[in-house]
Amino acid sequence: MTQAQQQVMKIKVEYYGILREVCGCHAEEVAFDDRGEATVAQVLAQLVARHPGLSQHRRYIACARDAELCADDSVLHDGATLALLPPVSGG
Amino acid sequence: MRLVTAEISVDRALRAAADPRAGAVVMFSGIVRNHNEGRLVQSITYTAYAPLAEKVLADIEQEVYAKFDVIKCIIVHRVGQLEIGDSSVLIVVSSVHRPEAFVGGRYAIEEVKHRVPVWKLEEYTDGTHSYVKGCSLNERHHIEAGDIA
Repeated sequence: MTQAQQQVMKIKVEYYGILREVCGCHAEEVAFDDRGEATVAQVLAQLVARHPGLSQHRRYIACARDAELCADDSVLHDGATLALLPPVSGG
Repeated sequence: MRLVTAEISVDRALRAAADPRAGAVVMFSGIVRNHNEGRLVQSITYTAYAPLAEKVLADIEQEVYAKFDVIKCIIVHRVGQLEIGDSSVLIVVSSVHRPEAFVGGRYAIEEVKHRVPVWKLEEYTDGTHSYVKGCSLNERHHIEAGDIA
């Protein structure tokens, strides 16, 4: 496969609450070379590698896409936006 | 719009809950207080994942209608930087008799606190700030002190 043919899939990640402090931004991109899809768990694994501080929050983080919560095994495609939601404290 | 940035209007919510059949109206207002866990609070900044927050607030209203014999249920949550004494959340429930309005309102606020993707950043008088520990949407339990360093 030539470089021009190689697929790079990008997922936009949005952080909320304390995760904005942990990761130092409100949003960023995650890229996967040469594949058309990735699970939520795979995206989270890449983010934990990038931001080691995320690891202690990992089990408490819920993920959402298009205003719906989604499970770790949900499949994401190129251009998807994934919201990372830490424990909520409204009211 | 159940998620608002401007000051919550009690009058508007009471008007929305009014009904000729209603003999009772119960209102709950969550207020920013000047202290929490021994620290002096200057203000609280609320942020939300708005698309899901709107949906969950609407879901909770519908659950109140389904579970309790109420006439109207209005829930409004504010986001942005709030000062001491500001209302962050307002719930108004009307019913024919008072028990249903009380129990419906209590259900609504407990569900709001556990399920709506909103976060509190407490800003203290000493210039520091901290996110309030909350309830995981994954496991639906409170994070205990010490779980996260």
